[in-house]
Amino acid sequence: MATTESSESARSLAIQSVIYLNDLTELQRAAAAACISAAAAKAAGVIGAWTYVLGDGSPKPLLGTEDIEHFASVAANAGGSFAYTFFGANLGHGGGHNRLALQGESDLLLFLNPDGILGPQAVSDLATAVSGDVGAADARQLPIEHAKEFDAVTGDTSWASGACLMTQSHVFSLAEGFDSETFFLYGDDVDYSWRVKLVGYRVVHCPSARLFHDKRLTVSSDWPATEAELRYSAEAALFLAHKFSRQDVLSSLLSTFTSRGDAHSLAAIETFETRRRAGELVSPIDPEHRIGQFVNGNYAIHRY
Amino acid sequence: MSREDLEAPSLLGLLDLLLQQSSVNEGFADHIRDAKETLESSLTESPRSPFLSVVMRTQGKRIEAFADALLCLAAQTDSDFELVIVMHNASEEAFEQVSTEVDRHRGLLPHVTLTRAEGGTRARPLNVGVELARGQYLAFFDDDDLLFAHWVETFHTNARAHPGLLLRSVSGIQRITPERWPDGKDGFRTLTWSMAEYANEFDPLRNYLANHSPFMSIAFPSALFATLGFRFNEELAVCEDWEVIVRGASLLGVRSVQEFTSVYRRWEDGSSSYTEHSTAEWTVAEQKLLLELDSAPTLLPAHSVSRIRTLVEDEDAAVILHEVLASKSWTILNPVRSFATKLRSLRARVIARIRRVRTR
Repeated sequence: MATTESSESARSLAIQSVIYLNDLTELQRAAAAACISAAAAKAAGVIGAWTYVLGDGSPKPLLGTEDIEHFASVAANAGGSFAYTFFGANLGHGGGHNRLALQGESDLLLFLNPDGILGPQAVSDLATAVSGDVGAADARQLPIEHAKEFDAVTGDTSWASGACLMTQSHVFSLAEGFDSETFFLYGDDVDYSWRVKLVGYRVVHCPSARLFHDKRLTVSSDWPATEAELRYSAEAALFLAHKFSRQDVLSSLLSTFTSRGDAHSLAAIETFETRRRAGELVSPIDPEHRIGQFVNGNYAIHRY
Repeated sequence: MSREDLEAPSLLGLLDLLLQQSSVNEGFADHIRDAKETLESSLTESPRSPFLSVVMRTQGKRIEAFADALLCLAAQTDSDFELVIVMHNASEEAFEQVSTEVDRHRGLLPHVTLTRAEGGTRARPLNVGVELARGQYLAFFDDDDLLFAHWVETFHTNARAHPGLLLRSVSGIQRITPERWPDGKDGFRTLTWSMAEYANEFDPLRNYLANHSPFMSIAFPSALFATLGFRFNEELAVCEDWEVIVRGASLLGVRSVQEFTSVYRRWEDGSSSYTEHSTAEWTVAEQKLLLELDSAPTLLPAHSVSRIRTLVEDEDAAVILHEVLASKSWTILNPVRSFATKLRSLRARVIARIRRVRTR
């Protein structure tokens, strides 16, 4: 992990995706899009050397020799390089990215969903945004845009989505990366963003940078949440409230989840209480509530 | 009434009806059979490739929304489509911007044709696109709307299962407003969730009242244009899509697919077809369209007779109701009805008061 800032014009970049039993065709499409975007950024002089990195938490290696050669060839043809790491364990989203970040020495890190199709200008726009006092930035997602508020002039926002989040490596080090001990699948991006702010950097939204994230709606335009989304987002809500010193929010959530009584809510309570009893909860931070935002069950003011 | 019945292609159904007449003239029947075979083969046995031609008209005025639209196409799970972009009345600068954006997406969208159309109404670029399209089906995707990843896939799957029909999937509507982005680009801000405000099912009769199908929610068999010779009406300033949807649905039938696959983005401020054309223009276009539709016979799907009977009965009932309300006896008895209403209200209040007293 790099600990110093290089010159802005030649900053190197690692595009990281953590995979787990993903569809190979989806991965190839995403890789092609990411490499095109990185190549455009390099051609424009926004970044220097870049590498596309896949970290595999699947039970068995998802990529064979030929697959690795394919990805390496796509990256090489676009002027970059490729690296593949088989973790041998499911480290979760944050844990996987922490491991990959430790292996590299790039100035910039782009955390990218493995099935997301990056817009051709996304890397350029994010890399341009992430400099100076901007520690992290996220892209605008299509076709379902996140509703969190952002400042029209500065781009400042409460948190940056880990679906497509670029950060300066030295800021990542300073903030001590993702908290993979606390968060498994969801909430680690909110937590990371808030800790980036706590170490003195800004977090911005970059609407001109695009990520197509294949999410779908029901015919009544509802979000069909998956089992994992329900379970781990409920869990993340409890851990975030605890970690950012919002005992009031935590009490309210525990009460709501208990009265709701569904399997996801009860499982989240069980995980939280087990860790609390074992003394495994992280020490609360942001005691003056300067950074953490808990607004109507969200972690930012939402536009709609 | 089953959905399949409603979706039966009306024109083919009409030809079948003629051929089923026991005393039909044989010479006439031969012509009908030829016509039917020609239409059927062009609808169902088309070897045309690719599956879908996506025609996109643009003026290059909203380049960031246009980039969204291109990425939506690049992310389709089914890549068996071509994109025909027709720039309408575009300045050189706008053409350059659009060309640059298209080139940026070439690696993700290899089958793109970019051309220009000058003059005419909004229908002109559509007709230029129709001439260039090579697909088995045609869809029209405006330059500022959004697609979900399974838009093409949904049409393709249903075209295999129900060849020859117009295919209609579910669309949402999302409101956006122009805004300069932090990096200085002329962007926009999304104001609402993508809401399901359009009916999930295509209703041929209701569609004569208003167009309930955003343009990109429909895929048209190419036979509608190549065999039946349809083109968009260049006399209409707006509503050109509505006419082809209504007429196409009338002749070929519609398959409603229960998948949410696209989002119509409505600009709250700034330039759009809603703001570029005055209310008067919309009204005139609608009246012109209705006159045209009224000037020709209309085919309706099977079982429409029952529906029309119900509607006419409702209309008769409405007339009777109106007559009752306007009658002398109804007017004379108005004070009596008013007194009775007040009496009922007073009785309710008294009962409530008694209950309160008893519970103290």
